[in-house]
Amino acid sequence: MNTPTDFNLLASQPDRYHELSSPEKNHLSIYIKPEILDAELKRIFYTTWVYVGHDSEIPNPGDYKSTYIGNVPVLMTRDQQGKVNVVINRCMHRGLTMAPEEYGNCRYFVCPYHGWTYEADGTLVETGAPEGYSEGEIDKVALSMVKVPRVDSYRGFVFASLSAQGRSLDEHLGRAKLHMDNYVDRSPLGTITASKSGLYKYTYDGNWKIQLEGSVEGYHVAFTHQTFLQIAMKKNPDIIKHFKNPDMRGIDLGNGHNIIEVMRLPPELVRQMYPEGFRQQVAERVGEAGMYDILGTTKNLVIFPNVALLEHQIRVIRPLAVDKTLVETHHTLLDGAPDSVNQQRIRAHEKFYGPAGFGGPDDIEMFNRMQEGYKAEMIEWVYFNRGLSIETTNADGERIGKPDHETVQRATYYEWRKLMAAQS
Amino acid sequence: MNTPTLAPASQLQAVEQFLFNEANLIDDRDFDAWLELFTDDALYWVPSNEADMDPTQHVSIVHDAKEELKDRIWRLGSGAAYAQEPPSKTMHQLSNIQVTQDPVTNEITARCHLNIYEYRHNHHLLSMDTVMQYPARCEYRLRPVADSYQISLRKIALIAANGVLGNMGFII
Repeated sequence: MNTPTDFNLLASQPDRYHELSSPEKNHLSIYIKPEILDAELKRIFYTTWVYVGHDSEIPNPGDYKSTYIGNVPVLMTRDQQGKVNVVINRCMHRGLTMAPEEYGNCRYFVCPYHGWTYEADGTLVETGAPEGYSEGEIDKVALSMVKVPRVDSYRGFVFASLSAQGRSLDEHLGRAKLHMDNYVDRSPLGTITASKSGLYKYTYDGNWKIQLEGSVEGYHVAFTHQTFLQIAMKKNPDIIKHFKNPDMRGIDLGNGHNIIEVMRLPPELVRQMYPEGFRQQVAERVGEAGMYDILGTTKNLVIFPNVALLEHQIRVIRPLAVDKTLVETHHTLLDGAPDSVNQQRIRAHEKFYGPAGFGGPDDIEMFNRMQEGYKAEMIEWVYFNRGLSIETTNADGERIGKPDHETVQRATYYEWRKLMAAQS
Repeated sequence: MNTPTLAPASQLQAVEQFLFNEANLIDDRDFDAWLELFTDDALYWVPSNEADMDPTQHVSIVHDAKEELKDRIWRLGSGAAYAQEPPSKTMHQLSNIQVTQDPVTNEITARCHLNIYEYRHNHHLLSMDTVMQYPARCEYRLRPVADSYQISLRKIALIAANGVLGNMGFII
């Protein structure tokens, strides 16, 4: 007998959550059920590589950044030997989080409750009033702050995994590394400085995956951002028409990572936009063709599951609840670039992505309304099939579509399904 | 900080009334008239993260020269600024106004407290159907012009500039 699949039934079977998604469409339940967020935390955020910060955010020994892997508070620290550590931000005595500031510097983490003192790598130096503990009551090794088992970085982007097993960061990043290189190689020195030039934080009343999908949204620009395009068209008509370059692509890079090319400028416009000295410095590192490619192509890159590199920011996505998400957009400066280039990056980030920007707030409005529409639980599907029937695969095994196709949103969910199926 | 020399009562009153009128223009959404209060070289600045960052080295929430302010106003009236459809109702409340005048340039510095009450009704989003408050410490630079003033700097240092700021698409 052929019974149509009852997807609402699947949504209550933890070993079948991955069946709630397919290339064409996702079932509503993955955006609205708290149990599915719990499963995502356990099967995705706590197993794979999660972005925690950029090493330029903690340049000096003693520097730290407070952040999260899923719901787990962690500290990214630079110890006295100059090494980057990621430890779980929890005193081993009674469980307080240690550092009230988001970014700070200290020689030791000292818990304000009972004075337990730790090194930046989590080593327990001493308990408070140690004379009150008898022999054998304190094992300093066991009671050191818990290190996140795997920490690695690429081009300064630091990732950590709460799972001791799994593929290397290099394997995980795979074909995203090329595009991370493009992002960083805009700098004459090949390095960037993150967050020193500011960051914005916002929440929306919607599921975290909406922002992940929304970070590579070529389709919506002409509609949601028409006012931005009209203003930009008035100011820079030569440049803005290159939002519609027919050679641009949306690419599934594998492992859930994906990228859209948002704008491609011909060499003469690259020369118009960027000073000659700067172009030469970039070309010295990546060659002239590389320079025109890198400076001329604007790309939005999603690195599954929680970070996107786009334009002048590092965007970090954190689920707070199934229907609430925190997003931080950390501005980045190009080390060694002239002031005019970095100031242009500052102004551009404000203009679009800030809380009073001409783009970002309208996106947030869309996200809020999506989650509101999801309350109509009898309408079960959300669609991602734009361009699916003409999708191609290139020689590197990457699925390719146009930037306004949903190739890139589909890319996320191949990995989502794989990780959600891995455990029951 | 030393207590600044008090401006003469008449000047204080004139500046206060000017700032109250400015607030009314914003809250009445008479943006064209509001724009005319600014000098051509004016800066409307809302710092991000900290009150005193260098806006050439650090992003701001708003950093508008007059031409950019014109774009902002155009966008709000376009019907396609979705973060402001429907538009917020605001009430800009000023207090603690302290005025000094540069004896050489005659430029006036007015420091004040500003509390912006903002309400955006959207029947789809009842979870946000609430009045938001945005307290700020402000600095205005005013140039005496005829028997009034023009604004050359409108700096609004939100106390929550480093916070989780949602939709601030209304005129701050």
